[in-house]
Amino acid sequence: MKKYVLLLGLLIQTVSLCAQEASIGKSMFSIHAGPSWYLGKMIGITNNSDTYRNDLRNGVAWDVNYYFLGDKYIFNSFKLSPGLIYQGGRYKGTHDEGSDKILMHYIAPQIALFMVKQKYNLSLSTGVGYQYYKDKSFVYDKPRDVSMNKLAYNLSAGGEYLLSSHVGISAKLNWIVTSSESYSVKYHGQKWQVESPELNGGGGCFSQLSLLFGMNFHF
Amino acid sequence: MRHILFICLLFFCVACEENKSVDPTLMPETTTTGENTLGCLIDGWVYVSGRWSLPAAEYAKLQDSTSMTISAQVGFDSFLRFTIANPKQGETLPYTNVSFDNQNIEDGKVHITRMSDGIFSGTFEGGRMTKGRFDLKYKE
Repeated sequence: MKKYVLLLGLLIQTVSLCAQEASIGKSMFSIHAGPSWYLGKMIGITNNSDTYRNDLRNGVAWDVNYYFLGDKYIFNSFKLSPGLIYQGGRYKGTHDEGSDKILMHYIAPQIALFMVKQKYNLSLSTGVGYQYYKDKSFVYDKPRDVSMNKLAYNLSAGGEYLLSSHVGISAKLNWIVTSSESYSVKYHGQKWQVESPELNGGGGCFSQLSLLFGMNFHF
Repeated sequence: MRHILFICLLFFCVACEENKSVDPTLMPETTTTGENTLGCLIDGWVYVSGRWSLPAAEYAKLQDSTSMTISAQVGFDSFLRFTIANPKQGETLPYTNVSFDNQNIEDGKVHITRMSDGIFSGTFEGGRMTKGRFDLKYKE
């Protein structure tokens, strides 16, 4: 136990020494993971009871980002940076008659405003991209695949604490919004398009709200 | 030539009637309010009416008996039909003359949960068919 306390103490000391430095480099690469919540309409799922839908709303998400920070500052401590984001999300649920495993992959170019300080950065970013939606579901133990690929947009807010000039820890809140009035379903060797699905009360807007934690790398 | 024209017309009509808001892979909820729904598993796969046409319950009164024939289009070219003799609310009875995709399949049992006010609801299973449920309107 003492060993771990000593190790933790050394780590904190190292981190605080490293944190004296500002980031260097023109680019930033980051990876995050954390909890995610599915908000809004649930379309094409195998059970529409409130209880099941509420269970299915809790999932996990992960993301990878790249930003070109450059050298130029605007208003002393701000940087306007282009970038790219990929976010994946997964939501799982099971009920008596089947199950759903929703996978969403979102990729979009970003424009971000960074407030760059000595030890930390704050950022706001947004972009419009494409969301790939798959629901690998089962109905009475038989496979059923739903897909619904749509345009989507995202808004993100994040913060980074620099551990060294090259590495920082970061947290981020990302909201990806899309809308769909239809989906396609593959089942028993056939494929159908379902429009304004009556079991879901028609289509509509849905989103993923994700709270992500991870690392940033500056180079 | 006339036959081909007739088949083309038939396909065209069927295509026109397709209700794309119905997901044919999901069973309807168990209701007893005359929602005009029917669904069941055949060999474990879901077959549901409503996308191509509404299911029907035809009530027939003979001299000393009655019968209810249920028919439903459960796929683009799949039809299901069976008959219940002397149906009564609350009873579990055999269903016979089962036809699926122009083939006769095993008979089974149906439990009639409601047969009143022009509403005929129940559950059924037997042989290849399991987890069947229907909620239909009928006229005496």
